Amino acid sequence: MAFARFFVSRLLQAVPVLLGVTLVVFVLIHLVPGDPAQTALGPRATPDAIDALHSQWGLDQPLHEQYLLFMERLLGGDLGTSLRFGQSAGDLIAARLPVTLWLIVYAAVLACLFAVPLALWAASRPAALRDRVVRVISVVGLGVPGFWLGLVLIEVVSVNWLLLPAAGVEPGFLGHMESLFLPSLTIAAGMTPLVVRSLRAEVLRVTESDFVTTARAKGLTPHQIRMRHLLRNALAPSVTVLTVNVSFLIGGTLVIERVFGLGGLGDLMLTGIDARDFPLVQAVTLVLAVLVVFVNVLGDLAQALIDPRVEVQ
Amino acid sequence: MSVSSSLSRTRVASWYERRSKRLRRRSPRGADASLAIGLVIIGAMMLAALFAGVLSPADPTRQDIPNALAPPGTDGHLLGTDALGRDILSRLLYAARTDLFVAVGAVLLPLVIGVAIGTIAGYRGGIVDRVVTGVVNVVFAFPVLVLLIALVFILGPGIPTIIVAVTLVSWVSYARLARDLVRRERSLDYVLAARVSGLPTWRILGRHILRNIIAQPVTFAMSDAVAIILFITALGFLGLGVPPPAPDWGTMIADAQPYFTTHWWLAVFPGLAICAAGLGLSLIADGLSQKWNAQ
Repeated sequence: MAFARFFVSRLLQAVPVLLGVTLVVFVLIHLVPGDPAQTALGPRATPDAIDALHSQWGLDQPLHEQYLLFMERLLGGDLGTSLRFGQSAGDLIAARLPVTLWLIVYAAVLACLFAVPLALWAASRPAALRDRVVRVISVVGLGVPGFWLGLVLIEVVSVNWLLLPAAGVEPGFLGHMESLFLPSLTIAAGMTPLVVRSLRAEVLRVTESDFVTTARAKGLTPHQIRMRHLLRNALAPSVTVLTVNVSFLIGGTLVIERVFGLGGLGDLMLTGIDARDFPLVQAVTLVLAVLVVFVNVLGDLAQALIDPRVEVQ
Repeated sequence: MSVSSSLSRTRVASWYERRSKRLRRRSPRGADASLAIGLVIIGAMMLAALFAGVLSPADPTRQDIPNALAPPGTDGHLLGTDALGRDILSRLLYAARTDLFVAVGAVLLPLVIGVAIGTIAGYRGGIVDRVVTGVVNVVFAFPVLVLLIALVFILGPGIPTIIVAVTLVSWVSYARLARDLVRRERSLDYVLAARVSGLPTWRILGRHILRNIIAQPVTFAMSDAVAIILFITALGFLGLGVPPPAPDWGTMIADAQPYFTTHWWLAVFPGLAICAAGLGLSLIADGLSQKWNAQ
């Protein structure tokens, strides 16, 4: 019952944010210096073509009418029509979403595989050698540009060692696992330092709580405390840390998709940018932001399931 | 049983004692080292950028096709030349000027604007606070790089655009941080005393509250600067950065992509330059936050 209430109130909390997101995406096109239709069609566009685009985008109507029209279409599942492809932006996005989602989940899993053991190891002896080693790794790792690391990995792993494909996505589950490994590794490498830091701090916070003192008083060894108590209590914060960083994760996929030529949403957005395809860029931006909101809600729900003390603020 | 449990208890107790002793002793020293190394790296890079005109062996935009793709160590080209025969060292130095300059603007502007808005929202509360919090939550919903790319695309390329776009995206972190800090500070005795003594609001905010909360946003700005450098160079890599012919590290790597296998130096040196800038800023951020935690 408590969870159901939490579920509903958390969903309701997301509604104004989603409305705000649509408003920002709607406003984007009005930030274009000059006439967006003229900019999109280029200098040699005929006045008729420009007028046609105006009425198609609803730019000839007052601003609030335009927003209502935008929302009406959106709620009807219409994300606009791409200029470059002459196709529904929604269809284009649906076709490319799976690769991007794969990449996000794969990278998140890899980041956890690196970060959780590292954070626990570092937090087990704060300020000792292992803690400092982990700190150096995360400080150095933070400053490495993902797109460059991706290129280096392609060069070393794919070109020199001939181990993994350098670009593209292979079909099938195993094909995805193999061909998306390097891109996911690149994104995970950028994300791990962030996760390690927050997680280490969280584990240390938990170490100082009363139940750990109790466990110590009961005579449990540090190893038992770590395995039985700290790990379980560090799970909820890991979920938070991951969801907080999902925005970083999605931004990372955008660039990495270009490096590895994966043809996901990031690639679609950049293609739209090259073609000055405003509706397509707006649609991808909207979908990615909605994805962030969605993941954040999911993360909060997961956290509430793990830790019953969590409440909606 | 009792012997072994008392033994392990002693062991646990000494483990925790040792740990807390180490914590107290080590962290400030590590913080100073991080800070010092970071400041040296960033200081050196700033100086190199500032004196790019004197230090550069050649004009960074001058093409010399016969000498294209010369390897590092070639006469007159310490780090070699790119596909158009331009001197890589000179381009790196001038790119440092562009990228570091953009980064400074893209960190300072959001810091000032975000802290100002957050401070007012936190102090005033009520409708102002609700509106600001609402806007902050909406901007937070966008993946930073996605919104940044969309904004740079919409506003058109150029240094001012990049700074404006980064500001529009990243002021929210500072606003949220400052708001939370001010809300905590607002009810403390010294603020109440200042209010009772009839000081004007701007003076309470500027001279009393701001002074007490500013350390955290500044520390955050340093770690944000690491992300900003990566964002700016990523924009350059995607072809949305500083327009040519002005050199920029990200664009240099994008241009070098087809030559990576055959002419590694084209992409490796600008990548190392970004790593160095990232490392320097990251060390400063690490040092500052440790000092802050130690207090």
